[in-house]
Amino acid sequence: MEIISRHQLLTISIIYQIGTTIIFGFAAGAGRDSWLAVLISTFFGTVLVWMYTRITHLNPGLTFIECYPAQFGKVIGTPIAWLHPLLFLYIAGRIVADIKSLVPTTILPGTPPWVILLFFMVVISYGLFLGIEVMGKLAEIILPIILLIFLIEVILIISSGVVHLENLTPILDKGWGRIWSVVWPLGIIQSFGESLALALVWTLMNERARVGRTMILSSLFAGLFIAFTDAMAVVVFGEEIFKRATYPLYALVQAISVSDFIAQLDATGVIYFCFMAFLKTYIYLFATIRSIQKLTYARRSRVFIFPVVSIAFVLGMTMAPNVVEHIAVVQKVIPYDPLYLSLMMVFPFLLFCVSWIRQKNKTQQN
Amino acid sequence: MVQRGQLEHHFDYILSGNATEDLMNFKTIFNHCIDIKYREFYINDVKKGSLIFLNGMVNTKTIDLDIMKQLMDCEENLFKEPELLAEDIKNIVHNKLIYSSQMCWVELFQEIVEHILSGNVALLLDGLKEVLVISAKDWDKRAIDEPATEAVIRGPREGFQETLSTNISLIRRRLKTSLLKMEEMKVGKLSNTEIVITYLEGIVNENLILEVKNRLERIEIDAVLESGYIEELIEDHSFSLFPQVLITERPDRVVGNLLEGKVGIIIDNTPFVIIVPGTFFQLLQSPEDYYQRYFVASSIRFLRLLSVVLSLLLPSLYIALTTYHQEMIPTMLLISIAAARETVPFPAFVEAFVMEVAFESLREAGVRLPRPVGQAVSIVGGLVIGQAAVEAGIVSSPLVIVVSMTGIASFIFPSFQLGLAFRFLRFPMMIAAATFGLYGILMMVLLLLMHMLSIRSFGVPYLTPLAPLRISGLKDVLVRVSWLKQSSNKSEKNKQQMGKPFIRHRQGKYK
Repeated sequence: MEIISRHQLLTISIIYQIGTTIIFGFAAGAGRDSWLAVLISTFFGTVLVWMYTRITHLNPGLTFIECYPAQFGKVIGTPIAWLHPLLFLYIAGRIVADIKSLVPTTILPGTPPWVILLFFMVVISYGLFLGIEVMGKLAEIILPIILLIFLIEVILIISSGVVHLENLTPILDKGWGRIWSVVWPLGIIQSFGESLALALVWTLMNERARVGRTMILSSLFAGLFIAFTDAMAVVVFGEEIFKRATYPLYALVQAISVSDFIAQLDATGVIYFCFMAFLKTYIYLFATIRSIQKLTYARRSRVFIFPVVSIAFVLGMTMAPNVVEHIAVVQKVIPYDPLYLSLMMVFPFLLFCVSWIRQKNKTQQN
Repeated sequence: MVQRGQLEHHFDYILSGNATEDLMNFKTIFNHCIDIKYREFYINDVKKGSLIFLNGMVNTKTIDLDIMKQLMDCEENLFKEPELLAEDIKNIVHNKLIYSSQMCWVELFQEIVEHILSGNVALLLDGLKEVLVISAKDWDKRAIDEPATEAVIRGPREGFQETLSTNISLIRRRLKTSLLKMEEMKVGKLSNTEIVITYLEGIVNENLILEVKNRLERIEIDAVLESGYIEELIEDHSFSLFPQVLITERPDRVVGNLLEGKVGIIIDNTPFVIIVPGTFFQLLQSPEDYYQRYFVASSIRFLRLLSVVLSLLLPSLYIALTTYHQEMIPTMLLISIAAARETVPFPAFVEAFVMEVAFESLREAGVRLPRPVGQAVSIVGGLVIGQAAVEAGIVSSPLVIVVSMTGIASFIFPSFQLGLAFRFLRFPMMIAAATFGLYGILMMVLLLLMHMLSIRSFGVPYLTPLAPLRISGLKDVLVRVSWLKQSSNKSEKNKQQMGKPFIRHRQGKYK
């Protein structure tokens, strides 16, 4: 059995939760108040993540998806549990589609997308083959590097002379309405609700009692990080461009220009994104494989690697005919999708209540 | 003739006590071995005896003066008493006659043969069913020299040489404690090579020693000519490009590592000692880091890390930037690169690939040739061909700069083995860069990192202490913190750093 340390879980979670928002931006609909929207989402998101960790805490020894059959009974619980690998696989397919839409249009215009994705999937399969422990160590090494590069990026942006702090004011001039509209439900689902996939990693941690604290820490850190980058983008571009850009934070990297020498760093931004997408896809596929393994009572998980990776590849290739549709679906359809909402909020909430009441009854009987 | 497969000789002879008969048996075994010498003689005209030894591996002066002269000059009546028992003969020879500090009585034929073959003198005496084995080993050996592969500016200039006993003494001189243990083993069906496992008791993890012994015992091989054989047979991942043990010629480096709780394996007939477990960052350290002022040493470590990255990525970054991401190059630089590349008929990848192959072959040629010729090769190859190729417009001058910088960076590796791995990895990197640009480099780096993170050497993760992260261990990896700031001594610190090695028993046989 592979085991990861607390520090490794923390770094995996931070990278995972920052994830692809490093390019796509977060809560752009709230305009110049997006940073505030991110902070509010972070608050509710952290509560949601905390609830997930409590559920696994109340059902010791079981992974998150196994709790459904255990608490709701086989008839209701098993179908719900089976929905999870499908959801994870679908989201993994979306990230693969992100790569497909971003990489060929920005840095590799002549290369056919399927070759790029094939290489991506091969690297992910190798990672899945080696196991989560290796990924934990990888995250441990890469996170400091990412933060360092980010720090350099911030310094370079400031020295490029494009920062206009007045872009942030007036705060809340259009009221709370647009903030709430991005916080609920997209803000909470994105990054925080998606941490559901991490729940399948928690049982592999060596100090299981500290999962909750670790996850809260990483959620807060990721939230602050995203809020900061959003504020940065608004400060540089102003509200209108920020709202309309497809990749607002990618544009941020493009804005860097220091005395004509350090300029046009777009490619580094894409590379940045590719790594984030890599880890996120990895975690989703890992979660998919692990849930299938748990639900089929299979002994070895490696047999599932090839089929699952192939499905994600095909999903990514066929997900959306063009970038505009792809992004529009992410922003306008998915958040209101009943499956998303029920799997990420309604069912976990019910599960939490049931587990909590059962636990209480048990202690009272004793 | 002895068939292959029956290579191990087992003799069922038993010593008879009759010197003539026993000598005949030895002569049958050592048939057609001209380097085995026999010397028959009589003591006091009555007692027949003979000496058997390996010519060239013994000191004849010792044999003449301390053995022969003593036996033949002894008092007239010493052996003339008629009722002399075997015990008494042994006593007389052992206590009164032979001048030697190292000798023993051996009964088993097999053992006697082994002793003779390793350079000891066997003394057969009439009436004894045992043979006295006397040490008179002496053969020509190289003087202790400065190690050729690991030169330092400051530090001891002694290096190991090919004789096991000398190498052991070089280590012992640096650690005058009874806690320094040396255990002997023999490996190789034909070569019977002596191997010494050395460690510091109390510092080393017991399981590690057991595992090392276990792996050495499982080796099945005919002969061991160099420590490379052993290395390959005991490492965890023999398919990996990365060296997983530390190879060194320097006694001070071995001792430094023993103090960190590692185990040394000294092998006869080679100056290269193996240290296990070997980790990546250990292979990037030079013993000199600990002798120079720590601030300077730390900056040199950073320089080395930078060189590792450069030697791996520089040519592929050049290819990726000039082929796919020209916009990232500052405009003025881009113009000068483009101007230089204007006459070049090849794409950047072909250009870089050809130059890298040329550089690697130059380097290999320089190693094999005698030194004066080697210099000529580097002048002709490096200067003349490089200059001519640029002027002829076959390669561009920026590329020559890139290739030379990569070359210099790859010379910085303190471990030649690790340098080899990176030299090789440069080529797949270049192919990935030519196909996918920066994206390809990222994916290759991820593959490489994942591989390095997955391998272990004797249970210790290869990238310890960076991943899994141990802050205390980092004090001795990225920088070299002053001795005053490190925990009280080296051994304490490294106990924490190594943690509990998780020993993985490798399945299957070593063949």
